Amino acid sequence: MRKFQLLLLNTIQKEFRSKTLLLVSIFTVVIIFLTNSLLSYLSGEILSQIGAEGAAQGSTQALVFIINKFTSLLAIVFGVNCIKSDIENNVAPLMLSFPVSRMEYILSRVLGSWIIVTIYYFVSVIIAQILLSSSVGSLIGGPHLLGAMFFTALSNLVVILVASFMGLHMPKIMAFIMTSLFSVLVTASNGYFKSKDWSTMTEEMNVFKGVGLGIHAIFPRIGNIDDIGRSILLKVEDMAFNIPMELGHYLVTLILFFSFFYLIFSRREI
Amino acid sequence: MQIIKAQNVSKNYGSLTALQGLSLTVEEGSAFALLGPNGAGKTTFVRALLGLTKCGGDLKLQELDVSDKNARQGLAYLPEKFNFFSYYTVESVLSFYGKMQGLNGSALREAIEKALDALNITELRGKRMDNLSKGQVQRTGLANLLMGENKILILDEPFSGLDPIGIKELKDLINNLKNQGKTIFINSHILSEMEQICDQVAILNKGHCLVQGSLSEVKGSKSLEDAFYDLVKGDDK
Repeated sequence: MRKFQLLLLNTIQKEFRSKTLLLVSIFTVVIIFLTNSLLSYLSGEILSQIGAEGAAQGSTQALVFIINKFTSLLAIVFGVNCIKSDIENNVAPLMLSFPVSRMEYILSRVLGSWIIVTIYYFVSVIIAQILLSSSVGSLIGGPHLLGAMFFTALSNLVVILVASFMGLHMPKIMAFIMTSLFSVLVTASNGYFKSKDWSTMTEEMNVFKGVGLGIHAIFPRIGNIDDIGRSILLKVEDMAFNIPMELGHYLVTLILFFSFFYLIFSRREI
Repeated sequence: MQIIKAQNVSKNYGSLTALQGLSLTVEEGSAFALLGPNGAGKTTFVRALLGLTKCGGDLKLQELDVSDKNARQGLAYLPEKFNFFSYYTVESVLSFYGKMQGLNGSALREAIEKALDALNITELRGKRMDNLSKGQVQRTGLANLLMGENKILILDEPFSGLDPIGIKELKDLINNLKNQGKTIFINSHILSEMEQICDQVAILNKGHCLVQGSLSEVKGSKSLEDAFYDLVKGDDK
């Protein structure tokens, strides 16, 4: 366990020095300040029309959307690099010469990257909330925001896991593109099938629908998870999701994908 | 105790045979040299020993199958080209290795001081890995071998990248570690150095073991170089 913790810490230290993280963080802060300045400038007019609550909700939604996109970008970059960079720098054989299993090694790299991405995400959202609260003159955020952030973090874990798998099997740029494509495909198939029951899912079946249904069934439903987060953020009362069922599906498919990843990695020449 | 036991170990890369029916044993506390020409399968065997590559046959380390992570308990490995994250300083590399070997607190600090001193790199302690010369990086890798209570040291071409002073110091270090009862497994093709530090030898060619035994048994009345040449050339015919 101690060796796993050391590897996890080593991953966090490695990713913390990433130039991508620095660049994205600076860009995020600039965007947050610009949005906030714009809101302050327009506040008198907006507040009179839609009220403080409406302005806060609209701004929060816009900022969280932007931050989510940056977070996804960061998750893909970190995911692609987290194991690949060890192999490129010939550090992986050293790490695996310690009494650690390949399972512990993958977990430490993926979880370490996820922790950094989640910290970036939480800090960005909190900065945005503080600034927005001061602009509209009332405290916004609260438990619903934390709930939304939790679901986005779950979605990022899948992206990092898939990106690290892709990174091991193809060049970085290709892995980046393939992971982005994976996210788009899963989100699109989740969007299409989310409100359908089993009988309507399978009627008028064709190849594209079959592939989409397969993706919807076997991969963690990051589209639905993101939608749940968004619904919580917007305080939607009649959500179209059964949250325990979605979380159960997420957990089972995540474990299955991780097991597949481990199976492939355990046979790999390092 | 046979700390390394290989029986009929085989490894193919597509149509290329890297190891074929390799069998050898390494006794605990010995300084063992795995010799062979380029492409003989030495590095493949080391990688198999560390579980980095899968192979056929039976390969045990500390009486455990190499796929078991516990087989690598108390093991330190130095690859031919040691490398570590560029932003780590020499001291932080040693600290990481020490912690992975179960050291902490004053024991860790003491081990770092000893390792820096033994390799004459105390003045490099605060330098980042990307600011070191090739020889300094290799010395840092060697210093890692001294972190913790390792029972078995696996060195892959350890003389690579070292200047004559470094080679002399490494030989002294290995002799010192040998006297402490550690098992030292060295993979090399520099016969003159191996002859001075190892007491057990195996010669590999084309993926199989031509001979294994004590240094005197293997070389007989010849020099190790002549014995090696005769055996390998004889096998090639």
